[in-house]
Amino acid sequence: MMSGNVYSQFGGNNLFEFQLGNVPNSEPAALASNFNQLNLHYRYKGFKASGRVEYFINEFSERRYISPSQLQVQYKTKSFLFKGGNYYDMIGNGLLLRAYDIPGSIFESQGYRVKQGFYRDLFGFSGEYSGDVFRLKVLYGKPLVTELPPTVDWKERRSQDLYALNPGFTIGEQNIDLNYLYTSHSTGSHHYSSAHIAGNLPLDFSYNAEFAAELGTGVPIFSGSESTHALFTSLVYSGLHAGGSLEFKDYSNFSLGSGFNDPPTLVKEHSFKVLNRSTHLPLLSNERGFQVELYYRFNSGHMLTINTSRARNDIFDLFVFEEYFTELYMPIGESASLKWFADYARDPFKSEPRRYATGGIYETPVFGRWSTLAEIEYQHIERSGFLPGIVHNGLLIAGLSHGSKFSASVTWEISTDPYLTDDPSTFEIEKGRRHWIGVDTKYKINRSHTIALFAGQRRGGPACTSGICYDVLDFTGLEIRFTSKF
Amino acid sequence: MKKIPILLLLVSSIFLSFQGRIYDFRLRDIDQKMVNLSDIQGEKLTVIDFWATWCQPCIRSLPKLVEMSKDFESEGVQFIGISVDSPRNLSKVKPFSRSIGITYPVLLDPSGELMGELNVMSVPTLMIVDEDLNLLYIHEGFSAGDEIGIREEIEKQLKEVKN
Repeated sequence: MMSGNVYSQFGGNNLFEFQLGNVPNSEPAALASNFNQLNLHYRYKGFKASGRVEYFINEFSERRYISPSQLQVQYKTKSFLFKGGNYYDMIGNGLLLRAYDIPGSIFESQGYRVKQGFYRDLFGFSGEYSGDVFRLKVLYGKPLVTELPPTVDWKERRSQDLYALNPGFTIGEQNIDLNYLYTSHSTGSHHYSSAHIAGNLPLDFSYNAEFAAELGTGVPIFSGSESTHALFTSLVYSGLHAGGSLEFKDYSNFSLGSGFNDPPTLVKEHSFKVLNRSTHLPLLSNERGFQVELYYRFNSGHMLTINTSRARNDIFDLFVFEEYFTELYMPIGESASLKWFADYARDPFKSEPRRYATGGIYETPVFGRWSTLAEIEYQHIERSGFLPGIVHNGLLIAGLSHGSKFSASVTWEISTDPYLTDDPSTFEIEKGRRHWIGVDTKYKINRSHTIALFAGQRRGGPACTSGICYDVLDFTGLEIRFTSKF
Repeated sequence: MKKIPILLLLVSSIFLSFQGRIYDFRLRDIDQKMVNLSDIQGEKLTVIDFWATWCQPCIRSLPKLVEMSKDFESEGVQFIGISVDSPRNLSKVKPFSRSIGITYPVLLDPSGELMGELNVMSVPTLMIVDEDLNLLYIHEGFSAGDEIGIREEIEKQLKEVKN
């Protein structure tokens, strides 16, 4: 394919996944399935047209589909941007609206068992003017309900209508935005408004604050559990060696519509798996809390991170989540590094009054462009409630890579969690240990094509990526992914 | 019959080869200002690095990129960071960037829209473009020692620009 002249270009990417296997205890054990997502775009000066086609095939006819899932046209000048079709947008800090795309990711729910790309877009149109001082955005869209796969009727997946008006001003180093959102659904309509200010302060400080509320409810704001509001504030210090952020949240009855908003959660998004699975999920019906994160970089290149967060939920009972996290990054020599972490949390909503975790990652070059990686994580949970007791979770990863050309790793996980060790086909609650062992390899064929292979068992559970938390299914079998870019 | 279009999609993607030119995008930076790529690109080369505060390999790569940005600054090479952090982590991007020593521009892509438009499917991903925004090199992921290969590639591209 030719790129044409310097002002026009055709391109895109394709993600192909084949699996032979299944969720443990599901039939058939060797289920063959294939998912593919093709993205195409064409650009000519300020004009862009793009589309996405997805399909999913397996032996179950009710779980198969092929559909053009996105079409978009866009026109952009220095000051104006117009979009029509499927698009993404965010209002303020996401208190009112956040549409997103997580490229290269695949989503499958336990209920439907249908694979699809992981995104939540809007279908409609938007227009935006951006000047030096004044800006204005107007949008209409039908948000996608990500949990409903393409096998569900389009009208059900996009049953809500949103209209938004967003004027904003920039005065010196301060930004002020006023937002209005109207939502309409068969169950009713709602009006929301928010005010958002952000900017720089002296002495390397900056701030960000947004307050949103539903209009016309007749309930005074902050009056109690009936109030519908969301407040987010942050104060940030960005020094040369030290930095930090202090954030505060107060959310009351603020999960909007089908869940198209995404207020900041003020809970650390962990990259370590045992912590990532235990991430506190905000209850937007009633949650107040704060988060503090501090960084310090030593002259030696070592970096210390300290984080603490609180979330108070006053629903049918009072629950207070607390977390204390610390991490030390240590460069070793020219290219090796060691990162160590320790974490303590109290999560009464999950019946986990105490949770401890520690671990680390060591990476070093071995010879030439080859490098190795070793990761170890351990988590100790004291659980009360339905299945009280002590739970141990462990993880070991050993990997080898050659630049970005080739990588291979073995992952071994172990858990004594009775929710995982229990055999659902019996009445007894089996306790003991459960293991998962899997091998991942990735090879970059050339600049355009990459092939990745997984074989073995992969532990599922809660996972958070790019700020979105969801459930990943367990998998046992073989998986091949082939990605192309052009 | 449904298998035919599926096979066509797969086969066509295999035979389409990489080529490309990125476009002059516009994003907000960590100081809340709207910035066009054309306003901050390098005189000869621009190195664009997609990263996130929650991404382990990104955090390992950043100190190396900071070092390279200072080494190549006088040779017309501009580094630009693009954080794909969501609202959950947006408040941390600026203090984290500064504390790790990043002095080059850091732009924000919280909805992942630019990431999708530029065919970036994971983080970290590093791209090198020339003064006409032609895509010269892409590096995905980061392992110990990768900084050597990236540095060599920048030096190679600078030589070709001079020629």
